[in-house]
Amino acid sequence: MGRSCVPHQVRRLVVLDTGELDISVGLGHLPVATTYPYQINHLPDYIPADQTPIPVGLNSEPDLERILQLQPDLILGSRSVHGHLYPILSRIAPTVLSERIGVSWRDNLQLFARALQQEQKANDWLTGFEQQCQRINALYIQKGRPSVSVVRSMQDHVRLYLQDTFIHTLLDQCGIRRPDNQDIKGFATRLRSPAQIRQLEGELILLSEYSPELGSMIRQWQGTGFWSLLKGRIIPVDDHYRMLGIGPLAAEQVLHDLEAIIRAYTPSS
Amino acid sequence: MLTRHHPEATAASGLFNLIRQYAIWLVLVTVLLASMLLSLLAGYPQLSLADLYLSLVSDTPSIQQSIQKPIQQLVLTELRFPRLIAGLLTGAAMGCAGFLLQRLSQNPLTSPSTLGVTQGSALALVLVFILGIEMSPVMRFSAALIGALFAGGLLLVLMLANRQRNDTSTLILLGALMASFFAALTTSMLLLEQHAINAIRFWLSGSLAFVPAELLPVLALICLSCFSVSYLMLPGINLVTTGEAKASSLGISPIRVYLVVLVLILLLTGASVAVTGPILFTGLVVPHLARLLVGVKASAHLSASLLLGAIMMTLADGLTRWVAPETPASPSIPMAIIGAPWFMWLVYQRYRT
Repeated sequence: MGRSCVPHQVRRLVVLDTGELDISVGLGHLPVATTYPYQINHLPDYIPADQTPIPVGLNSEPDLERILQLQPDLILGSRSVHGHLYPILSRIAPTVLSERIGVSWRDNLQLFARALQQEQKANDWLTGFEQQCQRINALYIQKGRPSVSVVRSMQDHVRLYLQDTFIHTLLDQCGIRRPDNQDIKGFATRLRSPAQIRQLEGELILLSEYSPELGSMIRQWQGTGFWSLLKGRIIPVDDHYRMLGIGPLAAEQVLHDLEAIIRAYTPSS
Repeated sequence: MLTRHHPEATAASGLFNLIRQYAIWLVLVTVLLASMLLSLLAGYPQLSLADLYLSLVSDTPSIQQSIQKPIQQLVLTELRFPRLIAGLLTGAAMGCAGFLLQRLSQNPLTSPSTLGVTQGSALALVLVFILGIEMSPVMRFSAALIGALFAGGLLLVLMLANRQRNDTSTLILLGALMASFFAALTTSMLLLEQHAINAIRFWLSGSLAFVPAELLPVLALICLSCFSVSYLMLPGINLVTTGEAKASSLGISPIRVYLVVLVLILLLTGASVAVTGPILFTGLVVPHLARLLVGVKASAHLSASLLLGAIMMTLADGLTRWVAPETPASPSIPMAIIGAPWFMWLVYQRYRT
């Protein structure tokens, strides 16, 4: 989109989405300001921020005037969400946008690490993950390679996460088998009726809820007779780092949980 | 000879009329049954008549036995039957509310949605949702009823305050104004509270998807008692609309008739909005169409309005699921396709001179 001349020492960093937030905190840079995820209205709980960054609007609609007032020296975002704002953003401060979000998080980590001059830290993260994934894989093979279904309950539908997602990149790195209907290209399959409940099936079903307070579709399904048709083991997982956070801090938590889940799993005879 | 032919001719045409009347009722009932069938079978998954037969003949233990197809049985018992009952009741309720309004105002342009009662009810429900109050069935019905009561009451106050221009045209204009005012308030509230948008968006366009079964007994109770009281009120409505003085002289208080009918309209509208969300135009089209079919006699007009309301709702719901089983549109869409031109045609008819 253009060349950005990034400063040597970034002091006033602004990030435009949760993925960028996760990556920059993971690289040791607490941003001065961040957008908030659409609909959640607060930072993902797992981000260890001792000083809360200033909120600058929603991730899809950053508050440009507020950002200008903050006089940042670097802005991080993604082309898929903020590409149309690049001409304005780049006049406020040097702006680095990743090509995509989610599935490309490892590339994003390395790109932003270059902008923040923390390439060593990024590499440490990635090697750490590789080692942990090998450990999980060994454990997983011992347990007979159960298939893992990833289900996220939204307010008005239930999603199955497919190959082009953050969570799949981690499961894939650990060599974990997905159910056939989820091991396909694409982001997510959206289900609207409990009559489709069998599509959730897997030996392990990781279930997260986007916003239980404001209504979660799966709770309605749980009240019906369809629910008893599910044979797999249902494991509730945290939505914040599994789905919202797309970076090393979230990956660390996901892998930590995954290891515990696989360890606790006993194949049914 | 000619004079002798005349009575025979009227007798023949009387007989013809009688047959015509019976034929209309027969057609209405047949269409109702057909749309009920469509509503039960269409959707994801599409069911066959055999599935329906199986679930009707087998009681719970034998469902366990016919384990090869339990999902079809579950779809019928858990989703389709509650949905059908909700559709029949809310459709008939909108038909009944529209009938009462059009009968009392003697104007085919009035209906709960063109007067803003439906929108007021929806506004109250959105408010409850945004405030994060637990949506129990009781809360749901109370909020919808209070919203309807507020909208109806406001309209009444405005009409009373405006005594010198107290005609139905003023009522319709005021109603349309209130309807857009409430809809605008709902929209701005949703914009302020973006968290609620996704959960509410679908419901706000009107939907029978996933009607919680625990709402049905309350809905049935409200609807069936309102229908019965409506039949009882017919003589009163007739007298009041033919002349308030005459009604008073016969010992019927016009105010009481107006009040009871108003309460019926609000109860019926609130109850259906609580279950399906705002579905516009049913209350407008149904009573008018019913009058075209069966004539002005009050009891026949009411019965036809109930039947037609139930037909339109189940048919609209069934059709949308038949067209797109996995991602069905809201039944409001076919309603609006029929209802909006219908409304414009009525306005044109009324005001073309």
